[in-house]
Formats: sequence, structure tokens, C-alpha cells
Amino acid sequence: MTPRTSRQPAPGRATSAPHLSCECLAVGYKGHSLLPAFDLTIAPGSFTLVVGRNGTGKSTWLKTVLGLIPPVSGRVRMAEPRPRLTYVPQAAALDAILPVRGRDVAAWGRLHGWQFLRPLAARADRVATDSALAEAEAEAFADQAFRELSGGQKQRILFARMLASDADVILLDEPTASMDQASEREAYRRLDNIRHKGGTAVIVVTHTISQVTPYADQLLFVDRTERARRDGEADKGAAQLRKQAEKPADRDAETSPGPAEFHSDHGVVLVGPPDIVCAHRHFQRHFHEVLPDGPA
Amino acid sequence: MAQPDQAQHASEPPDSLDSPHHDMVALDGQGGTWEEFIAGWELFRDPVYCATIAGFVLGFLSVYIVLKRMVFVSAAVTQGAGLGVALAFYSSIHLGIGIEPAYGAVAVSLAVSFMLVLDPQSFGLSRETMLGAAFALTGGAAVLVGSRITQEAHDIQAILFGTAVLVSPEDFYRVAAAGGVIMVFHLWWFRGLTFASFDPVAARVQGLPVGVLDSALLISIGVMVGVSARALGALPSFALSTLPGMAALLIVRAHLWTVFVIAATLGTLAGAGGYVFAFLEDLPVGSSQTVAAVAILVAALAVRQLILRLKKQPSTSAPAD
Repeated sequence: MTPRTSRQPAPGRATSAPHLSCECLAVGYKGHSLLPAFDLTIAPGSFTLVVGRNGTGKSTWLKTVLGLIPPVSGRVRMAEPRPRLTYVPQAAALDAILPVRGRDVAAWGRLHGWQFLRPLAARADRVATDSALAEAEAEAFADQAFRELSGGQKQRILFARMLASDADVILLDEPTASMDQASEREAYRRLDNIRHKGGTAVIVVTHTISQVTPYADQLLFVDRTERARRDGEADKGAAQLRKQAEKPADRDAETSPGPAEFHSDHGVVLVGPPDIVCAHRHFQRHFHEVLPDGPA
Repeated sequence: MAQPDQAQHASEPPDSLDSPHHDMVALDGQGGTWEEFIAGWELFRDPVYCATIAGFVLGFLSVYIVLKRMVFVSAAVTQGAGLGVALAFYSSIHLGIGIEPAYGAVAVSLAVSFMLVLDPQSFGLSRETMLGAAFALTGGAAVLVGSRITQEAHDIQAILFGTAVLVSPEDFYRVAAAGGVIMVFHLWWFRGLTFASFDPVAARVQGLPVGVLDSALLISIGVMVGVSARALGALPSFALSTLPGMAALLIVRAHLWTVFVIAATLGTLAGAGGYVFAFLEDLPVGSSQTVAAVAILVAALAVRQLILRLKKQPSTSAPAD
């Protein structure tokens, strides 16, 4: 694989140190890797898209990056001071009998670390929550019981929580699963605005790429299934990602010819800026060592 | 430190002590009157205050217990409190080591709580398995140890079923002190405790110390259940630490703070009201408090049905277009 040239990075990306780095990170359960180890850098202002079908390991990768499950090998290194993270799950993650208003859920976004030691929310926190609800167009139902909202409304509340969090890195797991196409498009447009305005890094895990790909500047395709290997699904996915990544909304086609890319031939494809090549070298070096059953 | 053999009513036959009425009036099976209750207020004040405080704090905690699906945790912890009291008596009588029963109750309650903090999956077990084992172990062991303490049979009965009529000043002060500290702590850490309890994944991602908050919650439940079980009995402590939360959740759908306030109020009503009801009707105290908590739950269910019916009414009566 030969990288082509760099894409125009999002603001802050070229000048700031990465928020977090996955170093030879292999993810899985009980010592068994679901994916080969690879490096990935999450820079300020970057938009990383993790794509794959259900059961391919993308959510496991996300949980490992979030620190919810330990890596099989390698590590996730956070910048110092630790960046603020926020996580947007699928709406179903909250208990169906939880008696909270949408506003309460959004207000949780303001709590980081030990800030809860302040027993009452500061005025600034309340203002930020109101503003986030307005921006997510969730004001109208913010005072209704969260459990009685529709899937799309719940997702808007979770978006408001994300906006209120003022985080450095936003991680979203199938964030638009309950949205129609127009809402989905709008949600990704907002995410793109956030990263451009505040230099926030965005990581989206999804199995559908149609709406989000134009905004991504770093793509990770994961699918090690037998079927994907047999059908060359990873290659097809990579081709699709490459095609879309070559036409980003904010890129000048003449000065920024396109992204670098890497095929593992084992169901993992990375597409992104040239610095990803470093990751590819690691990838190749560690691939055989980390996967217990070896590459297919 | 008070010795178990100094415990209240230890020398009296159990049957004469299971209703507050028996301390004031003749055993005529007719119950007492409000006038008699007021006349004996000096005697009943501490147990009523104790039931009020325990009901309030356990009612507040019951929201966490219900929403975190920890009802059986509460059952195991209250059983543990019973075992702790039995072990304290056994230690004093047979080993000559004087241990205050309330401390025994708190110690075993906390031990059970900490056991439940451990991740059972690391042993290849589910949380339900651990709960079942803890419940069976503490319940069985309390009865076994109790069978070896004939001198304190009434206290064992009191701790398991809540038949104690009066509360010693020491037990009352312990309930008041533990309740006060726990409420101050919970009001202070409320935002963190609720976020970490009800959306632990997001809380962990946002850097909240979820393990610390979970442990603090379990410790506060263990301590409050322990001191309440010694003062009121295990059965009413279990009822007060679960049923008010269920009732409040039936009434309130969206305001978390309101749910906590209503649960604490209902717990108070069940604790103090159950005691008064036991006096007026000449019934065992602990069972009356438990039944009062159940009655409140049933009433809440009725209120819920009424609210649903009232909500439906406008749409059903509206003319079809």
C-alpha cells in the first residue's frame, strides 16, 4: 500500500497533540482477539468513523477505548491532562423505569470527574444544559419523562447531553439508529460543526455509512468474518469508503488529492491521513503476534 | 458497651412484648386508644421517633434499591443483620466476648454488602447466585445460632421478625446518628450517586468514580439496614427499604427528586404509622409496619390506576372526527 497525500486536517488537528492513541491495541474478550492489533490516533478536531456489520468487534473496540473493558494487548494512551470524554449510547441503554425528565439526562452531561461534590448545579451548568437542549431541538419535550419519549426524541436528549458535556472527545455508538434520514443528516452536520468549532474529536461507530462518510477524515472498517473474507467484503467496503472519502465536503480537490489507505487483507481497513501509515507498519508487525488464531 | 444480657425485655416472655399496647394496658385483646397512646407518649416517644427516622432514611434508600434491581440485596443484608445480632449474643454467652448486638448487625450487614460489591463473574457466577447464597447462608445461620441462645430467644425473635416494642436509648441514638450522617452524605453526593447508579457506563466514561460511588451506596445501605434491623427488626427493615421506593415510582413518573422525597415520606408513614396502628389494634409492631408498607404500595397502585384512567378519559370522551 502506498499512501497518497494528506487531507486538509480539521482545525487544531495539525497543531495539537492527540487526545488519545491506540497503541497496538487488540480488543476482545478473555484473551481472544476479535481484531488484529493496530494503532489509531484520535487528534483534536478529527472525525473517525468505525464501520462494520453487527458482531464484527466495532463496539468491543469502542468499549475498550472507553476503558470499560481491558484490551487483550496494547493500550489506549490518554493525553495529559486527561481529555474529557462523553459517550452517546443507543437510547435503550437507560432503564425503562427510570423516573427522569429529558432535562435531567441532559444535565448529567455537565458532570465530570468529582464535580458532583458540588451538591447543586451551578448557574453556568444550567445555562449550558438549556442551551444544549435548544441546539439539539429537544426543548419541547425536555420536561417530559424520558421513558415516555419516542426513540428519536430520546436520541435528541442524548445528543443534548453530549453537547452540554463540553467534551474533548465524543464517542457515539449507532447514534442515529432511531432517526429518520433527515434527522440523521442533521445530526451528523451538527457533529461536524462541533468538531470544526471547538476542535472536539468525534468517533462514530455505525453499520451504515451513507450519511456520515462525507464528514469523516479517518475510517476504520472492521469485518473479519469468513463471509467478508470470501466475498471480499472488506475490499468492497474500503472501495466505498475511499470513493466517499475522496469527496469530503470541506476539501479542496486540487490541493488535497485524497486519503491514505491500508488493507490488512484480513478484514480490517484503515483509511485516513498519511500519519496512519505509521499505524500500518505496526499493524503488519504485530498482526501475526497478536491474533491467537493467526490471519486467515 | 451494653451487653446482650442487658438488652431490653430479655428476661420477659416474648408473647408479652409483641405489641406496644401490652406495656400500657391489660391484655384484653381490645387494643388501646389515642388517649392511652398520648398518655404513654413518654414511653413510646423513642420507638416512634426511631421508626420515623428509620422509615425516612430506608425509604429514601429504597429508590436506589428498586431502580438498581437490588431488592434481593436488601433481603440478604437484612438477613445478615439478623445473623450479626445472633452472633453477638452467641459470642457473649458462649465465648465470653461481649459484642454490642447493633455492632454485630452492622458488621455482618457490611460484610454481605462488600460480598455483593465483588464482581461475581470473576468466579464464573452471576450476581443472583451470590445473592441467593448470601440470603440462604445468613438466614440459615441466624436460625442455627439462635437455637443455641435460649436466654436471648426474645431478642432473636425481635431482630428477625421485628416484635420489639420499645427501643433502647442506645439503639435510638445509633439509628438517629446513622440516619443523619447517611442523609447528609446522600444529599451532598446526590448528583454523583444518581448518575453513577442509573447510567453507570456514561458516568464512568465522564470520569466519575463509579466504583467509589457504588461502594458508598452499598455501605450506607448496609449501615442503615444494620442499625434499623437491631432497633426495629429485620422484616420491617426489609419492607421499609424496598416498598416505599416501589410505591413512589408508581406515583411519580418523571421527577427523580420527587420520587426520593415521596419514598422517604411513605417510609416515615409506614414506620411510625405501623407502630401506632400496632398500639391501637394490639398487633405485633414489626408485622404492622410491614403490612403498613404493603398497604401504602397497594394504595399507590390504586393511585396509579386512577391517574391512568383520568389521563385516558379526555381521549375516550372526545367526539370522533
